Amino acid sequence: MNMIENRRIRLLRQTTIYLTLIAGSLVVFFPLVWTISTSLKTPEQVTVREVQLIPDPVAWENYVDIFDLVPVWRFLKNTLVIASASVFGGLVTCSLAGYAFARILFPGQRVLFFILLATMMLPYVVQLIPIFVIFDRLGWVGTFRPLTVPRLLGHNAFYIFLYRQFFRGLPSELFDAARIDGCTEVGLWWRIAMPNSKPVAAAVGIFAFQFAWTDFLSPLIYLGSKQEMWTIALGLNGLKGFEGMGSTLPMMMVMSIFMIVPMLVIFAFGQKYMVQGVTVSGLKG
Amino acid sequence: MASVQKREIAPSVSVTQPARKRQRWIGYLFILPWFVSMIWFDAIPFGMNLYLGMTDYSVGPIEQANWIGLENFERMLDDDLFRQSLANTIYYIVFSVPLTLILAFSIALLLNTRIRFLGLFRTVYYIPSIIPVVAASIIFLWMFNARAGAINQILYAIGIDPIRWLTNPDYTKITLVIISLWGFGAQMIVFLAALQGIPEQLYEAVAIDGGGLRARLRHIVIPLMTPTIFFNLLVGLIASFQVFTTAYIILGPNGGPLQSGLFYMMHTYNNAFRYFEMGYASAMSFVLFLIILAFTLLMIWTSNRWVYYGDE
Amino acid sequence: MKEKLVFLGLALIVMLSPVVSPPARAQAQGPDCAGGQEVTITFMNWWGATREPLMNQVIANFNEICPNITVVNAVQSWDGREQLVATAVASNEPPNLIMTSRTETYQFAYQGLIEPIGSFVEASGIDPWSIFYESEIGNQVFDGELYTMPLPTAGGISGLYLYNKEMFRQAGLDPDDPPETWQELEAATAAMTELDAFGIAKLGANILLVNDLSSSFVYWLYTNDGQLYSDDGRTVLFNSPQGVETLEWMVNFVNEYSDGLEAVRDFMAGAPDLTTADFPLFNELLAIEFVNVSAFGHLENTDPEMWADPEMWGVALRPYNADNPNAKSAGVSGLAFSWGYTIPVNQPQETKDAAYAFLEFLATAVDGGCYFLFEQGRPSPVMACNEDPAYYDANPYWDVVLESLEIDVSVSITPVQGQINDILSRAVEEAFYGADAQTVLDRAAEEAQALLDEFWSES
Repeated sequence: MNMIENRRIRLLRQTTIYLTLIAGSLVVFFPLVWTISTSLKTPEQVTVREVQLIPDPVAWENYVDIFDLVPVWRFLKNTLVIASASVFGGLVTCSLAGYAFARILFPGQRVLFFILLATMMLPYVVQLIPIFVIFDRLGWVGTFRPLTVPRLLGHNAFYIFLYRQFFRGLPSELFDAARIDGCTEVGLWWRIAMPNSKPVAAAVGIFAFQFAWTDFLSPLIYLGSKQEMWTIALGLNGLKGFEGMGSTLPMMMVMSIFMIVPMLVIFAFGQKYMVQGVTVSGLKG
Repeated sequence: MASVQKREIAPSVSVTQPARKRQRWIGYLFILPWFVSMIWFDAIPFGMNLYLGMTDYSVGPIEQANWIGLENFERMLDDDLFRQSLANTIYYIVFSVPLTLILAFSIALLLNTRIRFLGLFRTVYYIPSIIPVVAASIIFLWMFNARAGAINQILYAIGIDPIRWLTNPDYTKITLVIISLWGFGAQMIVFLAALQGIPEQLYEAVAIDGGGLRARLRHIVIPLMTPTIFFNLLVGLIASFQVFTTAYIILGPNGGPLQSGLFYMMHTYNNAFRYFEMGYASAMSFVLFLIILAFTLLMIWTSNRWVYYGDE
Repeated sequence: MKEKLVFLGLALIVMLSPVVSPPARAQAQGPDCAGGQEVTITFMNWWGATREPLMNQVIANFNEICPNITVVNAVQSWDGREQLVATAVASNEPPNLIMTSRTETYQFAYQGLIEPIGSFVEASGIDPWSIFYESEIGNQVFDGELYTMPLPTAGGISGLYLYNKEMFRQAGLDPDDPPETWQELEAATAAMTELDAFGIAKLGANILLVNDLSSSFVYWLYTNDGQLYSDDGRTVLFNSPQGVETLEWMVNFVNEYSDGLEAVRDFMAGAPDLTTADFPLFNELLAIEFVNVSAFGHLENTDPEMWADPEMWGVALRPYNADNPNAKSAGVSGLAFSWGYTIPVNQPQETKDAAYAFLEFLATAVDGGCYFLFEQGRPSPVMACNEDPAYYDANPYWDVVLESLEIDVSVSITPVQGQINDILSRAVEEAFYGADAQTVLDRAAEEAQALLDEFWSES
């Protein structure tokens, strides 16, 4: 009796979960459908007051013509350069810093950690000008350096904070045991902390890639005059004119699809690490 | 003789003491790259901004700015829009931060169950985070359009009169809060990552004791997730104080009807880039920094009561 | 006898030739192309991807005269424009030529960031005042110095409206007799507006720029013999009796005939521009819309059927207040955008010379600015260009367009205009939400006057 009831309860629960997820999926999936649909329209079919999801006729050629309009491959390559620096910084430099804040005692650690938090509170809109001035005086405007160097140096308090919270949550015995065995701090980071934090590393990797991929303002002010160095985010917005966007909207949506697909791929890959068992399941004694 | 005794009685002390010295040095090395970047890209710009906040800097090379002391700060006290934009921002935060957190947490829980196509579902729920702003803004403008938008059409079908989401000053902030929920993805990812750290045995223990889903949630998941909840709340709070791009795109640079959607950062942005009053904007951003700092300290201080760090 | 006739004929031809010769062509040679040196200049502009080919053609035409000057067409996206401009002028190596709005031009001139072009113009031997409409070139003068030349027109943005003749017929109105006065406009709107449960189903006339109420107010003010400022730009005049009357009329119009401001905003909402197929005017849902001269190009591209049939659409001048004996149709020039191309001071002399050479070509040459604007169906700030007969072939209402340029009046603005716009917008909006027109205008005038006084005292 109990077993049948248990199974029924479980079945009910599973069904509820499935139904909820599917209902929500329809809602969250809609913008992507709209984007794809608009990308296959010709300019005269663009409507913003109604939704007509199936264009008639379907403009498949948009996906070919876009390459004449925008140097897509070059922009993708440029964006990849910046994204690589971002991901490397996120996975290595930020992780090391987060580990130090979590697991290494050094004088001034608390103060420095507080400074780390404080840097998240600086409103970026106004920071823009002084930071630009610094890069301008360094002569780095018009290069990739303002976009890659800070990332490589781990200039992202959010990731460091995230790592720190997670590393703190790992059982101390793990580290103490290895320390007694004579492991160096770097070794502790590489052999204990990181392997047991695959979900966090995956999360940071996803964030780092996404941010570099979609960042618009910084590439704009540092690469604005040099179209050959543009990222795809700039390429996308470059299609927008200042007197209405109806005529270029389909092409902008084609570019949007080019932007969305790699991010979905990276996420699909990263979320594989977010499963039970890749973190330590407790040490006895 | 004495040293031998010491080693026997308190082995941990002498073993770790030389190690602690080694730890100190390495710690600095680990944070050195970040520290360098912090000095160059946070501290120095912060100092520059503080300086500019006390000048009449308008536009162009910053060397041309003239010192005017605390005039900008005095001006804030008389500025109606300073007060209005701050009030708008706080209203937004009070609703948006908790709602987004609850939504992200719920979805993360659902996406952490043992169902088929889990990877596919998770990827689908990531989509809202990566729709480019250009497309998303058009979709939202259409969705909330009082005449042809999806929401009003649905409401009308069930007998509710059309609501002027974007043109009625009483509704614009609510609309922006709803739109902000769309950004649950980042917090969802953090929750998903954190959920993996809960040991399986704990779930089993609850099941053996006869507890169902609700018990699991109350006694295991939520307590163990409090550090992550704290993290997301803090980060969400800090980010919400600075929100304005969505409102800018949806309502315009003036925050829509009767400037009901004028947020603090939007007013700062207007002063910086549209009125060429960069000095005043710098002063405003410094004040915002202090406000965020105060709220953060408050959050951290009260967190000791409800955040449970398993390690301590 | 025959020789006398031939001689007379020849003499006649010689005498008449200046009359039938092609439009005056500016000295595109300029200051001998920056002395003939090899120079590269970066031209930062916001003409957008759709007009990039046109601009590239202009540059190619320029290079036929000045092959030594390479112009990099640095087209930018419209988003983030303000931040990009602010950082560009804060840089040690700004772009060599930047497209700036009039407020920006004035602000940068005031801060000493851009180069006056008076000496370049003199060296080049042209006379801008005889090439451009007076208000057009006047808009680019700050504190007595000329800083750039205009492209496109600053005018032609408020003096015209586009109307849907079909809707006129449906309502029983004469499509060839569009409203000329405020009162006629009211009658026409009343006849053509229909409401439904969601608000406005069909709108007769949209008299507002729904997201820019201050400009809307100023445009109507000038059709009621009102003024924004005094001619020297130092005194606020918009809270005059004409101003109050204008605002009250606007509020009453919108409330009486179109169910209030919110209803109009909802009706026009969602990227209300002429480049989308569902713009209400193209679908017999909106009869009258106040447009700027870029509308013709958009109409041609978005609804070519309508464009091709003059029985479907028409153009007329902005109505004036018939109750005011001094009022007449007028347009306002230089309040919005009013683009110019400025030369930052922070650069070597060769690039400044080269930048000016290109600027002059872009603004004055027949195969420069004239060509660029003709391809978009827009008039040019250069008087002679607008007489090109090809315009008349393309646009059946070309003389109305030219007439609207004639009735444009230039507004004296200062670098603080951006802030005043927002203050005025808020005041106008409050009137729509029930506040008393005189009170809100007085308060806005007080704030604006304070800003103006502060500016003028510091300069």
